[in-house]
Amino acid sequence: MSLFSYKKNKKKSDAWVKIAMFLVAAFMLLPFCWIISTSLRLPKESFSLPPSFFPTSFHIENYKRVFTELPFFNFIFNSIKITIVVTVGQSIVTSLAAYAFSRIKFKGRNVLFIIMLSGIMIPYQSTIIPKFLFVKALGIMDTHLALILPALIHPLGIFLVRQFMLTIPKSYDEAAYIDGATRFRIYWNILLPMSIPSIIVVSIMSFIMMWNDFMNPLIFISTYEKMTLPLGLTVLKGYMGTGSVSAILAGVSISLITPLLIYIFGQKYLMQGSALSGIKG
Amino acid sequence: MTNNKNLKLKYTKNNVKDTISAYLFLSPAIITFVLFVAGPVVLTVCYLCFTKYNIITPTEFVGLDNFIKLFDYPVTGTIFKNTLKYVVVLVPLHVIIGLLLAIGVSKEVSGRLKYFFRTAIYFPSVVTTASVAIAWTYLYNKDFGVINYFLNRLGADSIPWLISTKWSIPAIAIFSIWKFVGTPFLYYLIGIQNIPDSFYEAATIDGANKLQTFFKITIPLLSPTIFFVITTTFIGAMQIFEEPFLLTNGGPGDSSRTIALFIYEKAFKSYQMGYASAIAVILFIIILLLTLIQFSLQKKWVNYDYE
Amino acid sequence: MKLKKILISILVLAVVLAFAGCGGSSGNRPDKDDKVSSENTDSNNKNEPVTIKLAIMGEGQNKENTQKILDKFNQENPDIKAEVQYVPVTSGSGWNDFFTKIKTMVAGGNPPDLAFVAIEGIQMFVNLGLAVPLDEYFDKNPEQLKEAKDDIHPKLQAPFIVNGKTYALVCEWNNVVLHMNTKLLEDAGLELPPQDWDKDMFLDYCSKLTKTEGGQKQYAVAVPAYYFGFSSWLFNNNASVLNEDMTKCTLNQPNSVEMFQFWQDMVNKYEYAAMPEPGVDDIQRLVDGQIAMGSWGRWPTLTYINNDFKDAAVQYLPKFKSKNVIYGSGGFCVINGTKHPYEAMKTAVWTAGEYFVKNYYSAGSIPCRKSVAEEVIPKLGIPENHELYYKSADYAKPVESPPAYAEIANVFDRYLSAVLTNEMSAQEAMDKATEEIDNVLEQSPIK
Repeated sequence: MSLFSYKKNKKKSDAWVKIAMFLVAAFMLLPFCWIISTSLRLPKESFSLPPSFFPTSFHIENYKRVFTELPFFNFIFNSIKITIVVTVGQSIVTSLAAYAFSRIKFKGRNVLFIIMLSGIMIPYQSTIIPKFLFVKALGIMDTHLALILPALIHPLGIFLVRQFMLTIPKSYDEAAYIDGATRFRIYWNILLPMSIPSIIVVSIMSFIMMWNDFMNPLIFISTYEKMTLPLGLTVLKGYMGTGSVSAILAGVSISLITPLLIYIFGQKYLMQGSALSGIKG
Repeated sequence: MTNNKNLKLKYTKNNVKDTISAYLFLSPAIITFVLFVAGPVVLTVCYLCFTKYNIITPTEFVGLDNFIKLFDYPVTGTIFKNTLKYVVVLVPLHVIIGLLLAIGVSKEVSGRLKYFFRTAIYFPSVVTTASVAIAWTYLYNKDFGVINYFLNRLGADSIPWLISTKWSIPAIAIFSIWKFVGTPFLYYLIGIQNIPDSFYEAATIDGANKLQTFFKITIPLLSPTIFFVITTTFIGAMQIFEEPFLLTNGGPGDSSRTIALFIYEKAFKSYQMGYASAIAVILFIIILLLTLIQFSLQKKWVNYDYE
Repeated sequence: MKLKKILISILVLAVVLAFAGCGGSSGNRPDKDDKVSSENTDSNNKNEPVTIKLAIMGEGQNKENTQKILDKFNQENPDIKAEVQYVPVTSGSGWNDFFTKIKTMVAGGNPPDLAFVAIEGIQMFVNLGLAVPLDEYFDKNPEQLKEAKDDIHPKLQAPFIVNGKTYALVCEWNNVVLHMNTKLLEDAGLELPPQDWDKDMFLDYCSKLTKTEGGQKQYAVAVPAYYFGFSSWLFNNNASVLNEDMTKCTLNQPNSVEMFQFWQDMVNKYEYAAMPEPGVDDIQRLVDGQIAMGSWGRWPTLTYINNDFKDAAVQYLPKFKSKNVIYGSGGFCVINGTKHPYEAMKTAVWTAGEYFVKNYYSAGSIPCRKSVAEEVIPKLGIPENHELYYKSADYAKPVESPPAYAEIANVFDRYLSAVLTNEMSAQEAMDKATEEIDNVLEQSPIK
């Protein structure tokens, strides 16, 4: 029953808890080891058993193949472009709205805030069809704008940044207001810089969301060269077949790099984001 | 008197101006919200679900036909049942496994190991579902998949993970746990770290045993997080799409087909937009009702006192 | 103070607009450039060639070669620049998903000028008004029609003439035959079966070709788990998916159920057949020696060439209640919404011409032109017994291609996989499939 013991600062961790945690960690990480080691094998040997979780050979041809035979650079470039544009655009939309919600008293503020917040709960499937029709009506079907525009609104982000702005003492901007600063200048010079930590948290959340998005590209993008990485990879699966599992996994390995970097450099913010959205949501 | 009046006048004037500038600040958010969130919901619920629309010929009002059609369709029951299965399997597993893992990690003394465990458990949550799902289809292969290789070594028979009606949902559930358990795990971990040690110390002094402190202190203090995890995983499981789409495409037969997959197929494969909207409306109503029930029940067990 | 506030408001608005504008331009730039250049060509510069895009299903593995073949056309026709546009499929078994994608492109306002349409989709394309007939072009160039008619088997061409209008000249076709790995046949002491082999002999072959060696199972045959492939087996048992005028589903008829039962047993009772797995290509498994036989057209030759695989032979499917050969043909249709219909038609007709057919189908599908097929197929040399590919056109039957093909194939795939997993009896599954397909036929907006 030691799992239920409570002392956090116990000198020794329980051995069996530790063993269990190692087993869990192995379960979580072994698929990645298999992906990477198989991506370095000869395609013919990709299914050779027993499986190995550490590279036994280094055939980087698989990686070259992915780039030479497919528009893989396009996939990566598209993903980067869309993700960055959305992350930046969303930060602007979000922080402007959060400023209004946290600092300006106006008619309908509470109602509007609640309506926007309820956007978090709306299931994706109930908006996708009209979204498709709007995108079609705007004439941006099969362009990256079809992925960018709908992603600019992020109700949870507005909520989080607003909460953060509320914790900034009003005395900062009131002083400026009395000095005759404009609302936009207060936003731009005072509140925006001060709420950067919360904006980073929201940006990282939306970065991961956009980078991994699969359903929107699936519905809105049909041209090969305009596809994003997740969609392009599923196409790769159809093309390569079993003979080239190594090559497919080379593509998969490449797609893991960005999330890994984000995790390494952004984990502090990811934790904060989870803390904010998890406990106060 | 006059002064006062002036002040009041100024205030209301200011108020109007404030309102204008607030809406200017909000305009990008409002426009995108109306176009891509609120507008679509209203359009789906109030209009599209009562029409017949194949995107090439104009819409045609058909009343409740779509709902009747859905009711008559022999596979509807299976699809709703499947979705329910995902909910029943995934919600408790995420809630419980995530909690156990968070407790396990919080027990680790060594900072490095703690970091390692946390990374190992959370990392699958940030990677692209589509790409790891591709890898898992090979791990699950019946004849030369890695998972069956280990099962064989342990003396068990090969399991036809993705190609049998019995195993398709369990296979998708295992993948889903692997992929997403890191998220609730992280919520719990943060929650546990926020529990002050003094609570436990007080409990020890009162002579509470380990199990008692777990159920009397840890669980109640984590209850807001648990509630949040239940609500979000429930909504996620009701809408599960990518995992069955990428691993089995709803098959074999209809064994892993979900409501979300069905909506996608009707809307974007056979272009029955009205029909698909009707299904989406039903899904929306189910999610809304069950979420409201959860919210009303939370008062009975969720404890916000310590916040 | 007042002025200032107005100024702020304007500033905010400006920021919003600037942001919206720049988001827009940065997102759209590459696409816009494309559009502008193609629009320019048609109005301003008469000397610049017009771009004609040919949508082909695939992921672009042969893009360079295909473009090279088209470049020949571009040289001959300086006013046209034909370009291949690969449309990859993300799920499902082929045509279904491809046709849907073309439909989306048309609905979204950026259709390709030409799209390859296989026989399964032609009724759907015509019924939805997605395809434009070529008659206008042939009125002006009757000699081209005559020349094509002389060399293309009328039977292969027939499905593409709807209500007296020609929607495409076929450029390729396939018949389903049984591919065999001759190395595995040899190992089992078997020879290429005779043309008139039957079910019993097939089962005998299967039992000899199934074995487990070193933990790795070798299966005798791949399940023909796709509409076209399974239809060919149904035809051999006097069964079919639909009745003759394609108004009712006949999958629950005894002959059809018997064939589904046969494959259910092949997988579950005899364990001769490999259950199809997601992400696994059975043609590749035949090449790798894990499966001995499989029912396909001529397209596996592409995989054979990629793997430098020579140990392949083909034979007709074994006789059950009857002996039939199924075929499916395809050609390029002009898509409604093209800005240059005449040029598109010209390109479409050229794709059924000798040069394109000869070079594009040197491997892969069977060239539609008799003269070309008889030259190209022996030249490739694989698989053994390849004359089956051009000798069967006279008595082959077309695969059933109803207007609601996409929906029907979807139902078909789902119940076929349910039968193969042994979860449902063949009769039960086919009763349900028939009910659903009849429903589709009744409710389908296209008839």
